[in-house]
Amino acid sequence: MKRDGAMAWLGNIKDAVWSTMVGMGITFRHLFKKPVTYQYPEDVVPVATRYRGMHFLEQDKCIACRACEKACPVDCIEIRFLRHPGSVNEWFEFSLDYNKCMFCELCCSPCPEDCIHEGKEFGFVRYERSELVVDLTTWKGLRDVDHQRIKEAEEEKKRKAAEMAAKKKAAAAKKAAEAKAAEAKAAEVKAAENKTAEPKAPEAQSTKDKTSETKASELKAAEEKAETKAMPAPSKPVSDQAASDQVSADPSSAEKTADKSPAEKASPDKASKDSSSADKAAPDKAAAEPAAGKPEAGEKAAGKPGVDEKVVGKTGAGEMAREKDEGTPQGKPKGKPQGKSKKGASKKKTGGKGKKKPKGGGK
Amino acid sequence: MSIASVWTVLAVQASGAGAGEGAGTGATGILKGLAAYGFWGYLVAALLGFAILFGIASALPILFTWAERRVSGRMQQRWGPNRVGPFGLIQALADGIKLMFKEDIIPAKADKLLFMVAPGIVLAGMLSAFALIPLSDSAVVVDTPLGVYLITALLSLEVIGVIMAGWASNNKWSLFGAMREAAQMVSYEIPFGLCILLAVVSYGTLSLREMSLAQAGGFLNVGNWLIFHNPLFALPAALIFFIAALANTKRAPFDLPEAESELVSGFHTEYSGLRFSFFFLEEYASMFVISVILIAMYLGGWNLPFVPGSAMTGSFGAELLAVLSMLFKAFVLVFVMIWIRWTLPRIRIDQVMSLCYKYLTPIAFVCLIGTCWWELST
Repeated sequence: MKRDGAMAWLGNIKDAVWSTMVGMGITFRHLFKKPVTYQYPEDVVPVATRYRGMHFLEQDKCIACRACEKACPVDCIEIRFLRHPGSVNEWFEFSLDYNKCMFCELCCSPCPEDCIHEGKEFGFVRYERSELVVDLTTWKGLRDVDHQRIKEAEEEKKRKAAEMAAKKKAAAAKKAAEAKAAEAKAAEVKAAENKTAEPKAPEAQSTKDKTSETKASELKAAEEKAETKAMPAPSKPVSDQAASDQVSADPSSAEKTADKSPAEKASPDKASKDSSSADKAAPDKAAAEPAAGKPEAGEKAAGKPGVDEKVVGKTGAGEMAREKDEGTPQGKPKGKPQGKSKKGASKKKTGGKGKKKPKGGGK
Repeated sequence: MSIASVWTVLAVQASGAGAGEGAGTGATGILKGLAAYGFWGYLVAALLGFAILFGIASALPILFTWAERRVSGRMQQRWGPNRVGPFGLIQALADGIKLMFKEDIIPAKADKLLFMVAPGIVLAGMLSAFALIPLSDSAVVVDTPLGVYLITALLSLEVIGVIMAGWASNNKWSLFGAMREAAQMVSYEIPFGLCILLAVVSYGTLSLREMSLAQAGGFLNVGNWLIFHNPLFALPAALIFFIAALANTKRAPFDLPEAESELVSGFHTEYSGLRFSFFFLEEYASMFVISVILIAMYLGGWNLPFVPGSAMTGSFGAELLAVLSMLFKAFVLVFVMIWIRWTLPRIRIDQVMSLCYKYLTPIAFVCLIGTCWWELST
């Protein structure tokens, strides 16, 4: 509203007085309202129900499956426990590093027992960074209840073992009885068979042929054995100590079998040669050669190609043994198979790490 | 140094009180008796009066700062101070102790002498004004025939201290604050003086004590209060005096010399420690002084409704009642000052000029003329 002259002057006075009164009325009304301030350390500040604050763990429910530990994208959960009989967990640690934690709540969803939650505690003020590593366990080690449960479980186990033993014994006794009965029956049957078979004797085969045939089948079996033992062993990744053991042992054993087979072959060969069965001997040799050749490939992998088969086999085995003893591969093999031995080494390394930082004697 | 200046002023006033006794208008009590013993009597009276005044003048700001912070907090729906003592009552005391132990920094380029003297002058002006205000018929340290005239002069002394401080600080903000104070002072002093003149015209005396005494009696014992005795002219004049008093105490909406959002802290930007606390003390103590002046002139002094004026003077109990009544009224006015501070925003310096020259001064002048006519006609 536009005013001028004396009216403007009076209007201004009216406006000033009126607006001041209105303003003072507002402040006076607010004077008697309750302050909205939360006296923080004393008052509990309400937070949303979905607030993601400091975690809390329902340790009773937790089965130490480590699902949360695995799910954590920043690896801030550290779980250490020992599993006792009766699925009792002896707790050492269930800590969360709030230096790292980003409150993504990904640890809570995979929990099969729904026992880890994000709470409403938001005060993360500490004097030291180390104080932000918070152990969530409400107890450590074993409680009386746990001891009781372990005891019960062990007793149960013992009882079951005894039961099993009794069962086994009974079964064995039964078997023995059955076997005896069967034997008796078999004897009876045999006796009956003998009686019936004799008159039904087939036309006689040449004994030479028969022996050669049986020998050949024997050889084939041996060769197959060698193959199965020598072939898959080198191609198998050296997964752990035992596997490397096998590898180191295999070439020699394969060699032995390979060595053996010609030796074994020798006498039947002579016999077969006598019977002019060269055709049969040739595949034998062909079969024996790869059997011997495969270990060679294995030795090449061990690092010394182009050396005499036997020597290579031995040194290879020796080296492997050394490797195993010292824990680290020394004569680092070159070439294609390097990856394999490296794998073994890396595996060993991780194993060592695991030992250094015992994550729990879970299994 | 500041303390010494206060002593000097008070000693002068104590001798004034002694002189006043001879004229038959003097104050009562111990001070009057002491003044009869010559120079040493004056000195003891001065020291005693100073001790009492300084105690009151320091204790009241403690209460007022607490009230200010508490009220402002509640108006903004906060709690305000509530940690030190019950309801945070001794918060201001804690602040005072803190300020005493703080380093007293004097800027290198400052005018050292003026810088050091300025807070003393401000405090001296306020404290000597304290000596002149009547809390009851006898509870007045110095009752001179000059009365309000002397009080306005002493309150203006404070402005000189402020300008001194702003100039001596050698700081642009401080100087701005000081200049604003000067400009503001020449604006508000005119309606302020006219409103005092109105009261003087009504009562025919300059003494605040006599003004208060004159307001006893009438309808329900409030009929003789100036604002009820002469409502048409005295009521607006009381309002104008109150507005001018806000400007005088440099409180919002007239806190331009300080203006912490514009001028850092205005004229006391460079002050710290005890010297800063003097400015602080002065602001709150002068709130009380101005309130008491307003009450003595317009709001019936220590007189209460339904209580006959004779019951407020004479005996010790009556005097105590009068003091309590005066304190109660003063506290209400101080509360209103706080209330206004947390309601209104700061106005510009040109708006201060416009308000004082174009609105307050003409109205006050009309009220003065009207009161003259009123007093002549009745």
